[in-house]
Amino acid sequence: MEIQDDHLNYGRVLLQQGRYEEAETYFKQALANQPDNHEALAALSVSLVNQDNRLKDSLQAIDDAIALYADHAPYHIHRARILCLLKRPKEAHEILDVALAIDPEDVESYVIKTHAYLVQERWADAETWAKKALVLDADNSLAKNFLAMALGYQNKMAESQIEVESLLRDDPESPAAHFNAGWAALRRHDHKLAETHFLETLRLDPRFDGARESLLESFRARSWLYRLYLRYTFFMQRFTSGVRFALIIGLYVGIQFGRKLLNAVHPLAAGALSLVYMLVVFWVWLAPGVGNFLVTLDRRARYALERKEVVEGILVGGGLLLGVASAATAYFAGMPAFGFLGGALILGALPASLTFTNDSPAGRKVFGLLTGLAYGAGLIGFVSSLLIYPSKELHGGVVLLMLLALVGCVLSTWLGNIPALRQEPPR
Amino acid sequence: MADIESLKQALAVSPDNVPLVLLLAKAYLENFSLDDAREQFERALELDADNLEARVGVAQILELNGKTSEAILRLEQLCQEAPEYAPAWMLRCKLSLGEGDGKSARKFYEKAVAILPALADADLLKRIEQAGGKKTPETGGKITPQASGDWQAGAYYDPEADGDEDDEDEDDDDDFPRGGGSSLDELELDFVEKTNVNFAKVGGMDSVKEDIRMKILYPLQNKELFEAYGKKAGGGVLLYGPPGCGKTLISRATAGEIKAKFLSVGLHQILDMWIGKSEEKLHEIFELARRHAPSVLFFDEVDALAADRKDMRTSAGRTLINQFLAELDGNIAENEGVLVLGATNAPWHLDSAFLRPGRFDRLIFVPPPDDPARAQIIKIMAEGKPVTGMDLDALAKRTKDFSGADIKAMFDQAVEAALAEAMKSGSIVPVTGKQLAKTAKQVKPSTRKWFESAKNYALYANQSGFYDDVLEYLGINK
Repeated sequence: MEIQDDHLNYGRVLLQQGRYEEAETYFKQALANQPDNHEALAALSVSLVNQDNRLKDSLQAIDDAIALYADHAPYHIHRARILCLLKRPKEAHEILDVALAIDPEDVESYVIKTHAYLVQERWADAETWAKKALVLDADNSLAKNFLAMALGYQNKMAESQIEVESLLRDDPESPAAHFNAGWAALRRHDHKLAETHFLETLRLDPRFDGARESLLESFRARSWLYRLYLRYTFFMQRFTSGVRFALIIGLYVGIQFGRKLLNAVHPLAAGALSLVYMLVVFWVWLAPGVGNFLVTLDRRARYALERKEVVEGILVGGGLLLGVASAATAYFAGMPAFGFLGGALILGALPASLTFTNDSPAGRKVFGLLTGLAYGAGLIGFVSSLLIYPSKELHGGVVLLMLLALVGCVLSTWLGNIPALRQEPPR
Repeated sequence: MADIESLKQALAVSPDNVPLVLLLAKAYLENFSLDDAREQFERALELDADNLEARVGVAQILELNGKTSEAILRLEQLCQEAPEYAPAWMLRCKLSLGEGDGKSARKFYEKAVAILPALADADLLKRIEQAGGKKTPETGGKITPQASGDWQAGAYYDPEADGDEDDEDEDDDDDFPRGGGSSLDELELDFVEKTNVNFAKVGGMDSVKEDIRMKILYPLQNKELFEAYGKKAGGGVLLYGPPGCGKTLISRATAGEIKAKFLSVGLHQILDMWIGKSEEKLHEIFELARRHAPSVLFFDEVDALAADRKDMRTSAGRTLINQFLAELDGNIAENEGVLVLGATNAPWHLDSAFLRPGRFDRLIFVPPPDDPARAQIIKIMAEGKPVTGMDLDALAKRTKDFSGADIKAMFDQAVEAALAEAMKSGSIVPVTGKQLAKTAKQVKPSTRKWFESAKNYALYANQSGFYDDVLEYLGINK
């Protein structure tokens, strides 16, 4: 028993120090000596949940602990936390109900309920449960942070600001408080203040990757065009994903209807509506990439970018710029070859914006292929046109390839709405 | 070697057969499939928690994965629980030899062979002796003035320990010395009297060597000059950088340059589950270094001992940190002539109190090995292997950003491929330079992950300029 406790204790020391992989080894050793030790299983689960791509292993470990000691609410709560991270909020609610039946006073159950509702994008429910948690423990910082987030998503800016200020008063050195304050500022379109808060978050916790991404948002928001995009995303965030999709479809149908109406008045008006709609759609997809491109131009801010974001920025933002220049050359200099190149660079920016920073491996492949198709078709068109022009028309195969690329690029704006092609599969 | 597929088939029929599981584990081990081997050894332990062979197997894999400290800790416990199990002693011997501690290696070797004479290995014994592991029957392997040549007389001589050969392996907490008379064996320290490594024997790393000369060697050599300016030589120096890049080696070489005794301390030698015991051990280690000044006290993975107190949920860890700070400050006793070197892969986990003046106030960044250093590592790794057509310089260039461990992984994979070919053909198939170059492409430099983390610290939490060297290395000019 003494030896086994030794392993468990070493593991706990390492766990406290954030040395999760080493802690895991010790907990496994403790379990090799005593496989039915539920404390070791629970500790193992904690060490695993903090490692990359080990959520399912962590879940298995806590399941084993619960099988041995089912009446312990903290184990159920920990299980629910893992389920939230695995984006399985419905199951999290079920297990939290069990935890609440065992111990109705455990504030953690209420906090994780809030988390589950946040995962479900049910902001009003999240607000309710965060407030319930705060009734039990007025100082619970996680509940306060969740409440500020839920209020922010609902655009309840004044209430959210009160919570954020309270968080910063409670602990001015809290990375989470600064993180929330940053987003609250960004929602109020104060990107400079947001930048300050995100930098402070990173100073306090440089490992907080969400803060780095948020800092990038504040850098991108230096451009008024990007701020327009942010307004759009904040508006859409108020709704659940289902409602968002319905809104997108509704807008598309509405535009088609509007076009028909306007066509009866004047064909140019219908064309203008279509153009505006396409520009808006394109901008929604291209804004992050263009934002990254603008950040790469900033001597200091560009260090916040990861390599994949730099590549995306260059292909999307740089590609658009070069594409427009090529298209202009084609038009003004009468050189259609540059038209193919320009078209490919402009259209290829769409799938490219969904390739490099995409968390889904399947998505990276699909959009990567479409990007390759667009650039390949453009290049073939450019070379064929240069070599054959002006004596012959383009080969039918080349035209077909370019049509395929065009359809693929436009299609990517729809495929981009499929969660499986955008989100990392939980591991 | 047993055929892995047929073993797997046999196991499918008889899944709880421990000897079969062990056979499969060993087959994987022979194939260098370390993860699979470990999985099987752990499976054997699930089926039979007391299986000694499996426990030694896990330790062996840990060592092969570069987790030597953890492997040693496990073997220590195993030797305490099963002192008659010779393979555990033999593996301890090999690990000690790998660490350059010939004396301990000799002691463990003798124990293993005494239990199981069939384990006697003339080649191994020769290597132990080359590493300084001469037979010392009159002291049972303990270090004495006679055995230690020109040490300060009586420096490590513990008359009470004479003839008490087995004491150091008994886990009797009541026997732990309370006063200042701890011996190396009692503290189980890795010790090199006069390390035979110096800067000349460390390939490349010129900028690090120069940094060490400026921050450590010259101050020690010009002690009076420093004192004239009211500054003290000695104190603490923190070496930080990605794992597997030579921090331990350069620390040993530093000790070699100043001709001081070198005491290497790992986490397993200090951490103790009993309250107050870890602090006591830490104090004994400092006392030992003070008694034998000039000495270099080297703390590997110092972040584990000097972790940020904000991360500590229990007071036990904080007490150890406070003790460490007090020892560094010299509040308990003077640290004159004791150079404290700390090495860490995670400097960001260090409590900021450790970086204040008089503690680890000099920082040295140890980057991944440069071209000449990699060429030397490759040369060493190729020794004893059938390698042909290897262009050292070209291979060194291809392994940019590789740590020593990454280069080892490259060799392991190339050797594995050559072995597979050899098994098919039934004759030795050499590892070619081309094969190594091809394998180098497949190995992802582990240092990149470290730099990803370090970059964020250097960019956003560098108010005191702690990470300036990292920024410079990354070519970031803020």
